[in-house]
Amino acid sequence: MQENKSPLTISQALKLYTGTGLGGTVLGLAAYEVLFYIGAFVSMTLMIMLGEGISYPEAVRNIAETPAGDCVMVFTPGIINCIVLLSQYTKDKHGGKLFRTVKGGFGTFVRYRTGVYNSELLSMLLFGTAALLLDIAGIAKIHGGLSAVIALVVSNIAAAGIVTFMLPAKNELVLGAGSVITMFAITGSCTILLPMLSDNLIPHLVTGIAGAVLVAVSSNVYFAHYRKNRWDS
Amino acid sequence: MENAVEITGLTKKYKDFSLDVTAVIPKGFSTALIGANGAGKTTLIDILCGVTARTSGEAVYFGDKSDTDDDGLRNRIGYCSAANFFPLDWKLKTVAECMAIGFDNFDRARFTELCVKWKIGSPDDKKQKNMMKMSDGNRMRAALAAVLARDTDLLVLDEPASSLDPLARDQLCDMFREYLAEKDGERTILFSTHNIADMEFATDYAVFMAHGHVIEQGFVEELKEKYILVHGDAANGSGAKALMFSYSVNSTAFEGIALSENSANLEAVGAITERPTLQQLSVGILRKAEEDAGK
Repeated sequence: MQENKSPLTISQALKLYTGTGLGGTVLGLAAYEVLFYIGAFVSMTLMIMLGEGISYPEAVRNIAETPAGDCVMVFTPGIINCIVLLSQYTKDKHGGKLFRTVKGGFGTFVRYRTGVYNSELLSMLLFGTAALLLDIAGIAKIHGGLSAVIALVVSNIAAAGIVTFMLPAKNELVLGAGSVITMFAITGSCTILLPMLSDNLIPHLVTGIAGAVLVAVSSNVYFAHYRKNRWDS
Repeated sequence: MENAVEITGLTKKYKDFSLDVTAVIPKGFSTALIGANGAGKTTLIDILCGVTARTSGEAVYFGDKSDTDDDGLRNRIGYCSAANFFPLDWKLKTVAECMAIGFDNFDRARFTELCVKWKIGSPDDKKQKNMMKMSDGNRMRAALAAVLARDTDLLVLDEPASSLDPLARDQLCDMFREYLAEKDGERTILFSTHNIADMEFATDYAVFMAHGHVIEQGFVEELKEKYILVHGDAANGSGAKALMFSYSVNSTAFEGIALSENSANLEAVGAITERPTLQQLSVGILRKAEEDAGK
């Protein structure tokens, strides 16, 4: 891979492309994810409360007996992460031509995409922390506990890696649907299954390492394809 | 004459379109790129600004620079596309912040001044509209303000006048003159346009394109000497047609352009000859290109 000669930092590149730097993006993504999670979980709990005529804490306890609440925890950040991953700023999109003329050129695009992965990882860490605090506060219970939260974070890295392999797809409908299904299939199965596999965190560690390798490989493949077929086309 | 850009055998091959251009953009002047839709104007502009890669050929900028991937050259070229230049969720404040990150020579105070002058708000306003809520004309004004707020040597604008009202087009012409006058002889403008009549005041040099090729180029005043506008009664049309460069006729009259050297012969067959406007010249030259392509 060629050395990146962009004079911009990852945060500057992210700010240039999206209007928000790394810190703001991480906080923004995490806020959306947490609010989406609270909204979805509380809605589900209210439906159970009204349907069965029980109190909120009882309804939360009922949900916590099955992985249903964990599924909500998987879906909410997954959707937001997918939307962010799919932003590619091709020439036909708003801003696409401008970004080809800025300092650093393609190197700045690579920094921006790196910023996307970094912000997704950091926002997932914040989301996981918030999910645990909500669990402790009794607002939203996690069936798999800490193990499920760690599984969610590491599986999101792996899913981001696999979705990156799909980004060269030209059909946006196929790309959109395919990436969301892939994201949910990977994070959903990992978040439910990894806590069942072992009492320790070795499967999580393996998934996290595999995810990091996947992101590194898939992003290099994606950058090479993007440069040849979209940037230089 | 020094050239800001010398384009030699620049090609771009698509499945259904080929561009093959050799042309010069003279330094210190405003050059209009004129052609029908699909002539290759945007493709040429995009290649010159490093937005699209060329298939072959060369473009040399400022005498010795050719790598559009070089930040030194990028900084000297101010580029603005015909549409969608900024993401739709950006406000003027975002534009100012992002332009300052993306370009070394962006002057925020100048950007603010231009935004205020064109009545599109200010990047310092508390309440701001995003691009999505702006009219097409105001989006173009914002893009022009951003690119003009950079201290560049070459301004390359794709259809800057298309979404502007007549008054704004007039202001754009003035702005071109101001831009060139600020560093007399050192700055150059290249812009594409279909609004030839409105932009004539701002055009020193014209490059005419059809079907991916340059079919004519030169200083406007020289082209107006080279060609004449010819018109007359339809009854005299057949006699004049053979002497004309391009020709069109309806039931009452004929019109077209011809080389000036045929002026006397045309007048002898009852045709009226005049000095053409750039608009009339463009129609004549582009009509000839269409006729040749149809043969």
